[in-house]
Amino acid sequence: MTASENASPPKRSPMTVLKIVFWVALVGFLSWDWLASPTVDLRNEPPVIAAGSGKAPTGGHCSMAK
Amino acid sequence: MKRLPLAALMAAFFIFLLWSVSVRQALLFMVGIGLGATLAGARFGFTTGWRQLIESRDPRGVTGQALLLGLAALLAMPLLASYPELTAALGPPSISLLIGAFVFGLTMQIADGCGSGTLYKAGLGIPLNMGILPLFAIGSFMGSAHLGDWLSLGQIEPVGLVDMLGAEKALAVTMAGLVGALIVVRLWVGPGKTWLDGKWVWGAVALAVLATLNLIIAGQPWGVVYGFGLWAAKAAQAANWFDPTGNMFWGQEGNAQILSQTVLLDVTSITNIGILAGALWISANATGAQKPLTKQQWIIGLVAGFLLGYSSRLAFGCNVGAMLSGVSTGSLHGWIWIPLAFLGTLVGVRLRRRYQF
Repeated sequence: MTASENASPPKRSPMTVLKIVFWVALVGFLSWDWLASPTVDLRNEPPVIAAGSGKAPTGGHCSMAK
Repeated sequence: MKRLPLAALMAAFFIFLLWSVSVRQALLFMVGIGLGATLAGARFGFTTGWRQLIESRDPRGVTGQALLLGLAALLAMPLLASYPELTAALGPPSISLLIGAFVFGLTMQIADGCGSGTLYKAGLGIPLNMGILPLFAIGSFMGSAHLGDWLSLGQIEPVGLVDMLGAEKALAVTMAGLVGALIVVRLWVGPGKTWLDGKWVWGAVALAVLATLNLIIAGQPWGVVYGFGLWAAKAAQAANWFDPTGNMFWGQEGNAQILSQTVLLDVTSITNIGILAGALWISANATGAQKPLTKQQWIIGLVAGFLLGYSSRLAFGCNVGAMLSGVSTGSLHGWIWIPLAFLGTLVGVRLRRRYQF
């Protein structure tokens, strides 16, 4: 058996593990949300550019009180 | 991960959004990537700029921030006056704003990141900010769920300078306010200081352009915190821990509608995802290890992260939603937010030093 065959796989640092957990959790959340939410109505798409569209924006914003 | 496969993944997500969600959301994802890459590439830290001003009497960070606010106002105010579809970041001056801004300014120094800072640093892979992000989201959700109680302490109607004075006068008042702030900074730092730094200047210019693109495309100014609260609200609702019916904030028609659909349709969520992706792309070429934190520092940092989220909802935004978007679109609440958050930061930098962050 060669030395390289004996060598154990390199250990991941805690920081790398945390990064992997973070991104897996984020992608997992977004995937769950996509699957659990109603299908997007593509025929009712918001205007590509709000300025000049004549339609009021419908998004939420942190400055909103309600 | 290397930059090329990351770019391929981002391109694939862009195409997915384009095909399955909407063209607008795909464009906003690109804007978010630009924001994240700029924040991370220029290390444009609102928190750091304030701390350097207090601890080292170094004005370069706040000059960059004043430049950003001025440029963003110069671009946003005429647009708001010309296009009635576009909305300003109008938060109500209120008791909750005073408390929230102070606590936010304090905790952002301990957590070493505001709303955008937490996002881009999490994208860069900084451990504390990655740990803080979910708690920030929970705090933001709880703050929004309790907002009705906080507002009952006292509030007045939002004040928008563009509506009240017109774009030209609103811009003049905003520029005068920024010059006034820089005069105060000059008195604090004294003579012989370097005021401009290339990194802060290009960061300010790029962020002002991208924030304006966000306004033109989405119809509303750049924000961060709403998206975090929405993510936690969705999770809480799915777990049957939260019933939005009857809640002052989430029971309101617009928010209830957003809560019922995928977060990929939410404007703030999509730019937040873009910021994370943009910062991750920058981090692919970054080197250097972080100083490991002690157990006590982790606990304090995570508690600060939760309070950061909670207080940002009370304050109607963070450094982005209240300060940048508020001031640049002429909202009075942005001008109230800044001194209160700065007072909190004065306490926060001392606490930061005490706990040796």
